[in-house]
Amino acid sequence: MSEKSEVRSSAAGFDDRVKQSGTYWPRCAAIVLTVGVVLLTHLVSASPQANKIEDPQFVAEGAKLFAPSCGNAYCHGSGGKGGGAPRLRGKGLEAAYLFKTISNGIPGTAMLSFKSELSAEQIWKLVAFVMSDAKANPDARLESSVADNPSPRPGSTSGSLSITGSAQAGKSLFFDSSESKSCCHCHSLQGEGASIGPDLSKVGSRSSRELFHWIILPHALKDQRYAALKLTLRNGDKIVGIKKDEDAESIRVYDTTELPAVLRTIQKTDALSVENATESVMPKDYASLYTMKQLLDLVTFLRSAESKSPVTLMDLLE
Amino acid sequence: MNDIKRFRLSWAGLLAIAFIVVLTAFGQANAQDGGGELTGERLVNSRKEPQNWATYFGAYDAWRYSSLDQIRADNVKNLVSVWAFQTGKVEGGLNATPLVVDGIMYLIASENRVFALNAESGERLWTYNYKFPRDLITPYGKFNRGLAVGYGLVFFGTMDNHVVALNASSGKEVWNVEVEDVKKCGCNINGAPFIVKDKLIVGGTGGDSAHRGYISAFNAKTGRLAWRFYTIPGPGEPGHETWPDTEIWKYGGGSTWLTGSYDPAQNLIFWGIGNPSSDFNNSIRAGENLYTNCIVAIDADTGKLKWYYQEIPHDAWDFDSAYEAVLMDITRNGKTEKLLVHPNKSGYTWVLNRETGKFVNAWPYVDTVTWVKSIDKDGKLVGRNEPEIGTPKLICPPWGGGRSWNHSAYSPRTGFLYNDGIEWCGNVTVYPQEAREGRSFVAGNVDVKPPPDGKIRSHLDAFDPVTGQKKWSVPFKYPILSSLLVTGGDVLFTGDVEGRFLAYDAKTGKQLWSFNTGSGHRGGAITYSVRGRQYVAVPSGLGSIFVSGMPATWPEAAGWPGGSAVFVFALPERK
Repeated sequence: MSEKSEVRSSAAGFDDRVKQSGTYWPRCAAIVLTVGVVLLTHLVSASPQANKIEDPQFVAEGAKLFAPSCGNAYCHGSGGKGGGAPRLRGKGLEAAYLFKTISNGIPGTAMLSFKSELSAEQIWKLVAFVMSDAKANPDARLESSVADNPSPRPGSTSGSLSITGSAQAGKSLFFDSSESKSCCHCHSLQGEGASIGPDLSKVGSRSSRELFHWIILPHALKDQRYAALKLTLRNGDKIVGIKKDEDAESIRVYDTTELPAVLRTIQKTDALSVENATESVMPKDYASLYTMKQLLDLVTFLRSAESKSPVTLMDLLE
Repeated sequence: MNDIKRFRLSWAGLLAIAFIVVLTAFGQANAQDGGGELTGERLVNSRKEPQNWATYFGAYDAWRYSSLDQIRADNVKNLVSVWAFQTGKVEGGLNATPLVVDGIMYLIASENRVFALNAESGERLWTYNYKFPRDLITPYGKFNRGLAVGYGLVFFGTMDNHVVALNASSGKEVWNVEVEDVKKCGCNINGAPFIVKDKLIVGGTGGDSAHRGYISAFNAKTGRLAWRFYTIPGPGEPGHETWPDTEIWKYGGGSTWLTGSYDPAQNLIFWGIGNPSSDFNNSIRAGENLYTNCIVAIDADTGKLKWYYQEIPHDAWDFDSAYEAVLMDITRNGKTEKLLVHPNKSGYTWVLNRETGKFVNAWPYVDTVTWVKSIDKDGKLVGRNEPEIGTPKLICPPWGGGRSWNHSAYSPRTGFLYNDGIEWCGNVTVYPQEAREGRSFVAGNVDVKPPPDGKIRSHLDAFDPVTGQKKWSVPFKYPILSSLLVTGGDVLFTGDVEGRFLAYDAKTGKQLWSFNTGSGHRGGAITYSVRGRQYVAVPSGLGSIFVSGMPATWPEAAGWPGGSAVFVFALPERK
């Protein structure tokens, strides 16, 4: 085999790898591209921003957005020339495909969805930059428009005597993974957190009073799907928890004897007895674990999908 | 009379000899079977079981050294391949270091696929495929660097941030703990955990995301969280004052993405802590930013900090201190010092007293260093050359490091620390970025550039570990991305990115042997023995964040084939 044909064959191998691999452009890229081409005409005419793809101002603004979010070497490298994530330059990527991918991310890879942090116009600016001629538009410069150094601030808490919940403070409590009894160790909300106990994304329509009761008096909860299971093993171990699933040989239980829970796979031959209990495995000491303010924060956060108004102490007492 | 005496003596002698023979045989059989369960106690003495490679670094001291000496500098040229094992999926390559315990090899490949193999024949005993959500976003890749074995279990961290324990004989899951929601934290686990006493010690990624790092210890048998050490102190804790009075400490990085070492005499775990984030924009985190870029010494039972030493305060270069902490006792001028030798991403190796945490020395392992002018005799950085907002600045080495994470090796026989280095630079530009929990938080950009004195190049070297005096050096065109292994036979093994598995004379650096495994090397070679025969095993299979970035600097790297296999070598059997 000549040197040239060797090089060609290994390059072909790499292409195969790119097609099959999830961390590179996804295997569905070809399909998405085809669909993208069909959609492109429609999108370009439908979106006022899409018409500006060749507008130098638009491209320049895209460059500014690209540099910090996409252009670091862990991601697509400066200007999109390739880094830990694939090269974007010179690949002939279509606008519609880029717009969709930046918006939705690529599940199964490191590519995040950006639609929650960037507006459609900002995403089109990124598209414009990626599609622009790299030489004509060198790496983004931020001389004139360096952002102030923003850092996240805690939710403002009311200093007045009327205790009022803060959704942001409630969210911090809910997702505080450094505390062993934080909600997120068992519950999820809008796709984040664990799925050991019920998903709480839809409890926003419940009354503040009801949510408050659930948190501080969980033994009143009688949802059979999350009822406790008590297992006694042949070696004497006792496990209390929530069943995840079972097969012919084994049963998988979230052991909630202490939190955070541990998912145990118990061979059925190792179990002496399995009892169903009715009460919830949720900790019963949140009334003493949290201050009234923190409980109001949590309730306000749980309701925030439905109601923007902060929950007050009066809401619970009336 | 004399005859009788002689007769008695010789009977006594024979009895004694027979007793010794029986004991030795028992001892060997015992060692071969492993003397029962692999426990924390047994791991403390793993240097006495050179037939095994039972922990990630081979032993708690992180030497990546084995005393096995059947394969020596004078016969390594006779090595033959004995078996190979294909993991079946090349994406992510093979970054792991396999373990061998009592004749069984345990291997983890990308996507948390775990295998148990007969270490003599390569016969597959079981396979475990981790089930992960198909829509999983894997911020730090799908590869994995290694696992831990003990108490009849096999442990590993997952790409969706769980810790899992498998039954070592069946490969069936025993326990599984979610450490933190990967969607929330933008972090996961790809470093190897390790067992200390009854606990499993686990680090995590997240240092380039808006995340607060930690080390967790789980009860190895039950999976119950035993302690957690946060690498950024919270409000009211000592060290919190090294962060500004904002919420940035919650997003300040300090990840623990590699594996620590352990000193049983002090019951201390040593761990190199990663960079602060945002990586390049340090203006949003005024202060020293403890305990990022520190070596921390933590009590193995409680997780409490005993001492720390910060190598690079207030980092602005993404210079993780996450690399291996190599523990060695060195006698100089008649005095034995308990040292910790620590190659850092910045191109410097720090030497500390591991009892006090006091600075001993810092020496460069690459020639091209411009991020700092020098490091003085007290360990103070002199002449910091920090990147600037919006304007590119040439700084060496770039964030890829004087070396990547693949580990050094130390031989107590030669007394040399073996390491590799890359001569390169980068145009660094700072782009301020807002912290969003769990999202990328790098705030800068690097364009790789050659060093002022020529082309980008690499080298494999032997050093005096304390003074940094270079003993020998072998030039390489490309970075070495696989860990080094040194043996009692004075052979140094490593692999290159084009697929060659290489053996060198550990004393002189002379190349003795090579074998092309067909895909580049990114994992860690090990050596072990079964029934008296010494084997050398090497993972082959290019892939990682570093590798994905290579074509931007070396276009030809785009054509290098992927792979994911283990190759095993030994001397020919004498028939």
